[in-house]
Amino acid sequence: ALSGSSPAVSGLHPTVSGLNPATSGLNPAASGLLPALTSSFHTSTQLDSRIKRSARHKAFWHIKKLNKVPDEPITGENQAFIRDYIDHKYNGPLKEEFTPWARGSWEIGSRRPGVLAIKIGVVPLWLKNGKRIMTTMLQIQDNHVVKFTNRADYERTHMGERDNTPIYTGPMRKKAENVVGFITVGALSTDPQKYTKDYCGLFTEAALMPKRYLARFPVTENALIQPGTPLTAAHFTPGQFVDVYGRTQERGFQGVMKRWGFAGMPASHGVTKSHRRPGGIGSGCDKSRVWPGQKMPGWVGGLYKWHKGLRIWRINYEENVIYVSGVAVQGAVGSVLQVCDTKLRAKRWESLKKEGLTDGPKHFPTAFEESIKELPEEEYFEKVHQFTAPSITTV
Amino acid sequence: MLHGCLSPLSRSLRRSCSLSTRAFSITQQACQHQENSYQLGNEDDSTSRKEMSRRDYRFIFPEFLPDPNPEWRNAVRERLERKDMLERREKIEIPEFYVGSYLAVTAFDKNSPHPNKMSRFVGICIDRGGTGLRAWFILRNSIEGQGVEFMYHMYNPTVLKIEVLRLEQRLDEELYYLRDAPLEYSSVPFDMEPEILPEGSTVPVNTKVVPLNPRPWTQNWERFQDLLSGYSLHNPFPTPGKIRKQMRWMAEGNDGWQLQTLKFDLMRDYRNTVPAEEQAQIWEEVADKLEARDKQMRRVATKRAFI
Repeated sequence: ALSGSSPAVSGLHPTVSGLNPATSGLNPAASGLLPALTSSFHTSTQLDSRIKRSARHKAFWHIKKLNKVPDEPITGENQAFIRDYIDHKYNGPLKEEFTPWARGSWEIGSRRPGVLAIKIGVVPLWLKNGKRIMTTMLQIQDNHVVKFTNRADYERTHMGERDNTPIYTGPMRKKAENVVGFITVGALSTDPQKYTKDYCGLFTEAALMPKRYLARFPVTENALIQPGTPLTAAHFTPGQFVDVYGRTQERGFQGVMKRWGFAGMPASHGVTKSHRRPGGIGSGCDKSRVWPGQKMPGWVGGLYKWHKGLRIWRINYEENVIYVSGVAVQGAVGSVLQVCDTKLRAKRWESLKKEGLTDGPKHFPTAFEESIKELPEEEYFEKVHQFTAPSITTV
Repeated sequence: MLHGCLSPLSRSLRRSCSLSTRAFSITQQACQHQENSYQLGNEDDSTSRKEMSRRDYRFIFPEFLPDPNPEWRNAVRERLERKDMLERREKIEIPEFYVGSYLAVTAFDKNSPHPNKMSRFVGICIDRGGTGLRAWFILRNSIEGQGVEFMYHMYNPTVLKIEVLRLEQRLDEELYYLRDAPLEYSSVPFDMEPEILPEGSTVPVNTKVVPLNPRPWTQNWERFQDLLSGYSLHNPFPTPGKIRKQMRWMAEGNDGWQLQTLKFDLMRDYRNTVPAEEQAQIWEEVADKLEARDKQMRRVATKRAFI
């Protein structure tokens, strides 16, 4: 899936498994150090709730982004000079053009980069059959392609090694054969004075201002985009499906009923002081202890999760806003999300016969300047009722 | 109740405390709280008529103001929503109405027995709410001795026509107590003709006080008496001691405990209203289109009347 990058600092990174045998660098099963799987040796799968897949700390290889050595007090004149310099550096005359990269065409199995979007709110839309749907608005603010990392370089990093290490119980993270590398996308340019020199250095190759958020997406060869290319809402097509990855809302320390869906106990009928408590936590004589991973109260929320198969109903090219299904997009209003083409088999491009999108996205690998100029202000999926259209009088 | 989060009690508290001076049609409650509640800027004589009338838009088009909760606010989303709302208003007339007005709504209903697949419902508006495209209102009527309520979304494209049969206000912002009142107070004849008010008149306030049925009630109406004044509990029925005491206390003209705290709570008012400067920006953005549309609808109405 989408993983935090190795040298690039990522504000969004997937959960780190506490159980991955790769952390030791060895494959214990292969080396014969562990006994064979037996029913009493309860190893867990990815879905096993006993092992909590939560990590809220930054990975150890992340470079320092904001822990900058504080500058000496600078005079007003010098501050103005620095601002001018920054302005000249990033907004000045372009360097001589280097050969633009070739642009591929879509085929089944292509993987192209996604974008970083901000959740701006939830709004209802109506379909042409009169049905009301709730949609989340995601705004794609100031996205640029920052870097391309080829597969060989990636596989030498910590994440690459982890991806290639086999897991006993669960799907491998190894990427498909046609993935040639990873494209890093950045969102929201900010003042370089806030960041360390190392972090700003990530963007010099692409001649971009440092970005507040970064994300990395695996890509196939036909979907390579040159660093420095802006990504907009036109990257997507109305009617397609997307996967959204982001951090869920924080809910604080919660009890077992909210955290794990326990049933609790009756409110009356003699129940003493135990209406929302877990009840029993042990199992009996054989394993007369509390098993690791016993569901208990704890912190809820703030985890990175995938929300898959959300349809794009409407795109506003002026404001770079896409409207996706549902209200359950992770995070509060203002949170950052990674949005990319869906991997669900039934909702991939080649399965979208009814929508007429079996030839892939309208703009592949993304909409470039010349296409963006010709776009209308807004575009709707055919099932959506447009407010400029007359009232619905037939189904 | 309907939103699932706030009881009618707290919602009416919120609204009654944020009512400010209005050029016309002030409810009894607003009169009471005028001197106490925070006013959105004192009106000088030099204030232009245009600005004053635009300040009243917050009563005529309340759904254009966003929900004041800062966690959900976003300028781009609000702007796009308002654009959609204006586009919808070009297609149908969404008239000015208040809680207590009689409305008739014609909507597309695919399950309707009529060949044109439309259904028309007439009723008294007992509540309205929602911001932006989520704006809704509830109509109540009695059909064959059964109270019936319909909730409509104002910007739903299957709503084909909204007519105001009688434009008036009541003493309260919510009329859920009609569920516990005799059905005659919720009845609106289906064949009622629209009553047109003369041009430039104020919206009349209907000071009718509705006597409630004997218990059981859907809400504890004896507790709401300091906030809602449109109903009375004068029916002779036995009441437990505490409630009778409370009723006597109210009858003597004492403010209930809730009002006594709320009328000093400026921060609560502030949190529950959109600042005047932002409101002015919003009205500046949409007022021209709304006024143009209003003129257009008036022209159409006068043409029809002439014919």
